[in-house]
Amino acid sequence: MILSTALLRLTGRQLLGWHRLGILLFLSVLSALPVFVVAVTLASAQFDSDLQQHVMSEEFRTGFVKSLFDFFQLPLLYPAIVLLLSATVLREEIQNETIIYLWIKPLSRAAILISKYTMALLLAFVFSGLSLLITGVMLVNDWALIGNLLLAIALALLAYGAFFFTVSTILDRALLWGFAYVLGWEGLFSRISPAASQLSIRHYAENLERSLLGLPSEVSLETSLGVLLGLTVALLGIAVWRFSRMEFTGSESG
Amino acid sequence: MGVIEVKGVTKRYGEVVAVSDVSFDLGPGVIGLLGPNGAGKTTLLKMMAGLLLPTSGYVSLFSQSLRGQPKLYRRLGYCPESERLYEYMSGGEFLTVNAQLQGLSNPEEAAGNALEQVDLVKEKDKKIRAYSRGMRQRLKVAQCLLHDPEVLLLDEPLKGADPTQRRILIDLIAKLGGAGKTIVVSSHVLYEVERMASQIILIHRGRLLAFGDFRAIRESMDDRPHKVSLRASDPKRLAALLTEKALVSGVSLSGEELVADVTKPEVFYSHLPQVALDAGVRLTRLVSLDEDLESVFRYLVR
Repeated sequence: MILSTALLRLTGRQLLGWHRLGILLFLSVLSALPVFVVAVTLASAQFDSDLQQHVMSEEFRTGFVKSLFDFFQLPLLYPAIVLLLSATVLREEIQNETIIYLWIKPLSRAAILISKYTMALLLAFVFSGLSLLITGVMLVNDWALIGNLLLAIALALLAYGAFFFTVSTILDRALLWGFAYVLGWEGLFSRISPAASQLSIRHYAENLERSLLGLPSEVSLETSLGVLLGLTVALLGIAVWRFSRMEFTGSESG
Repeated sequence: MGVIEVKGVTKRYGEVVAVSDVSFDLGPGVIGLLGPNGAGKTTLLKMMAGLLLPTSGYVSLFSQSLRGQPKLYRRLGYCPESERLYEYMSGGEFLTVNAQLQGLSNPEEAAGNALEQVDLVKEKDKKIRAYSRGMRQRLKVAQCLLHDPEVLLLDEPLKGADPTQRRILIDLIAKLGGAGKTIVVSSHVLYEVERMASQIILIHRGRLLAFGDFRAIRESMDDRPHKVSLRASDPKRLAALLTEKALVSGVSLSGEELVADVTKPEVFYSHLPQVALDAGVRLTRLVSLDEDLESVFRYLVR
């Protein structure tokens, strides 16, 4: 079996334990940011009748949900959430040398890796999905819109998670490299260079979202879907390959 | 073919050779893996546990390679030297989680049994971060006993344990060895290994110096004088007689103690009583200084 339920439970506990209170609080604050922005916008409209009329319009609200998604949630929030979970879950075990207790069990390396990836992704989706769900419900009553955005998040998270996970099997400072990718490559470089944009996960996630919402997009739905899923499978394949060849050198002196 | 087979194993890290062309076959019983710090013991154990790949040669467990065969870990328990554990868990939780990962049908029961074996029942609810070094050692040993494996690889299991804890662990290891398990225990403290192991693997600078029954190894070193310490009523006279009869190749005197270099122990021991009797010298103590592992080790690494 490719998933170990015992390992899923252990990973869940590792990610949600009190010992990670700092990261959990940070994730909660990140996830709550869009909710806070929406709440402030709605509250400020109470004091201005013109603004209230504007804010109450369906057009504004739908546009607001999409803008939040396009300019904050998809390019920054969700990658940051999945990065904090997926880049640390394996790397911590390697650095703390507790990985040895997984390697000496009757579990294949692929099962260990996929179980950890699955739990990290699941939690990333909970944090990201809740954030979108709350802001969506506060602004619109359009479940088709919310459902399509949730689907876009899920597919984007799969690819981002696989990418950060793979980085964590190759590099020591996966978190740092992950942030460099999100902020440097996707946030800056790919906005300047269209060629670089083609080589970013965000590009396909954005186009997938637009296709799902029936908006004009640069890349077809099939291509976006194919790239994101193909990338996920390919990256996980590399991660399994790397992880299976990893040796435990440790810090012992004997 | 033994339970564990190590054949021509070499492990290199770049230019550094950690283990060089080591071969042996191990069967049931307790085997001491001896060598000073940095000798290559941990590297060898990790290769035996499938955690490191040999640069050349091969290691097999029950005639199979551990790499790519995780099911073999049902038959193997490994206790790492590293003290890193899941600090946020209690000892009992740690063992239960390990039992779950082993796929045992009753993890709680297995954890309870293992805690009893290492005498950690009272501390099972304490967080690991509050454990002493000795408690951590016992917990690490307990995690390899959970699934009752046929083979145990224990890397410095007595390190940091106090005398009482050492006794508990030594008795446990000896008992498990007596029950037919194959147990490899690494240590650089020789007298501890001597108390539990009948066989030794001696390595130094990555090379195998000796393998087999440690007394047999000692007896095979006939070309080197054995040292025997004697206390006698007249050590000077006894020394003179032993030299005159060519029973010793050299002597040194210190007060009432005489240390003799003996090249043929069987001849020396058979003639000594008569020599002492004829000379009217009373022997009050006779100790071979070379019967412990320390001397075997000192000799071989010279």
